[in-house]
Amino acid sequence: MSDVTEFPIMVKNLTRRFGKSLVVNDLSLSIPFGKMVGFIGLNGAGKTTTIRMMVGLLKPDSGEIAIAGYRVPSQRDSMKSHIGYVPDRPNVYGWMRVQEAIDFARAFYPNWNPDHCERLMKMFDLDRSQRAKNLSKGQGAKLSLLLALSHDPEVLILDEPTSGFDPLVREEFLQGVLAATSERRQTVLFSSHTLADVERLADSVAILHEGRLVLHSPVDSLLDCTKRIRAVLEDVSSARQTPPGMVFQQVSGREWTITVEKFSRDQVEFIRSHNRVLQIEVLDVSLDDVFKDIIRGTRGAA
Amino acid sequence: MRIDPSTPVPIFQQIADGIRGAVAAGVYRAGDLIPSVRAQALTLLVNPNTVQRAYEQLERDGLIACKKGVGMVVCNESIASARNGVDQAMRMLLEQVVQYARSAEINRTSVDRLYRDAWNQSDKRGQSR
Repeated sequence: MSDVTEFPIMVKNLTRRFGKSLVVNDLSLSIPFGKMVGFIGLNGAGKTTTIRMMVGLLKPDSGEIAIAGYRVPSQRDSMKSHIGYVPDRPNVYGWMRVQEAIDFARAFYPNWNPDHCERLMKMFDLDRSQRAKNLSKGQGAKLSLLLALSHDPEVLILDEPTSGFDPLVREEFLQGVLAATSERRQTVLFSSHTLADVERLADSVAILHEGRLVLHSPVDSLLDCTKRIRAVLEDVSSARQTPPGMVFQQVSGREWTITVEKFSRDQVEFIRSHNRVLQIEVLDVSLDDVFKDIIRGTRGAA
Repeated sequence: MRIDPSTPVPIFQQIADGIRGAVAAGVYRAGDLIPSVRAQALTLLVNPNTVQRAYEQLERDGLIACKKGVGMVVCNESIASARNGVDQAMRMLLEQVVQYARSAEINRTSVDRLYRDAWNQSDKRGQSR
């Protein structure tokens, strides 16, 4: 398969139910080599379930998964030495000292790279003799990251790695991810609720809503092409004609705000010529705005 | 330089504006190296491609140039053009303020007063830091 190396993370028509509820619904996502993707969605959107299926901890009901070219779950054991996974909670035994945890982990990986491990030790400033349970939250997360990176994996998957961190630790942790991945050109998927982090770090963003992928787009083109158009309505009671490409609209008093994708001047002209509006302006948006409006728009359409 | 993803100004633009401002303020002078894409990305905690995009814009505008085997250096005529760029950005912002004031029917005297207040506030904050 030639497309597996081109897309180290590939998921096709993935579906998973828990009882009656459809948690992941026909999800397809391909992440190109060397790219960092932010995986976002509300709580319960299916992010962690998707990630657990990707790393082989949970069986899908149907669909295909290929990670670093290996089929999951059938080739899970061969796949393991090619990925690094940082789960949403610590995965190191509390009684182990940092050095013991490293020795323990390295036994699982034929491709463990001691030099790289040492470099990460220095970069993250970890104390070998500390017991894992005595590490601060941030230090614990850095240890998880070190264990996930020391075998030089092609793919790195992080499940909400910074939730509950204080700002300083968050910054150090993300710096670690950025330093490690930009040097090695890894393909990275990280789920997060912190959209500011996704906007800073990710090449592209994948939005999951109620188990479905509603958008996968490069961050810069998404922000270049999504705009909010704000118009002042002359007559609030008359029906409004919305332009093509509308994602979400909101009326508050006389102020009418329309979020559009694939922005062009034609949309502004459409609003002007089909509605009685007094003033019209076009505003840039942040990823936070885009995410909220897309989710609200999806809800409105359902 | 500070990056704020919560504002609608794209991050690459914030980086480009930041460097333009730093050149105008004399932080970087003609011939000075600016940080490499990777170093800048790590300091600002942003995707290296975003820094790259900012540098490309500055290169197109003639503010910085690639010096082989060295890195990105500030061009000779940069200070004047950076000043120009900053002036232009200021002018645009102030035009918006004037436009806003007109639509909200705030008169010129009030705007002058608000503007002076804003300076004073900023000075006060600067002293208490």
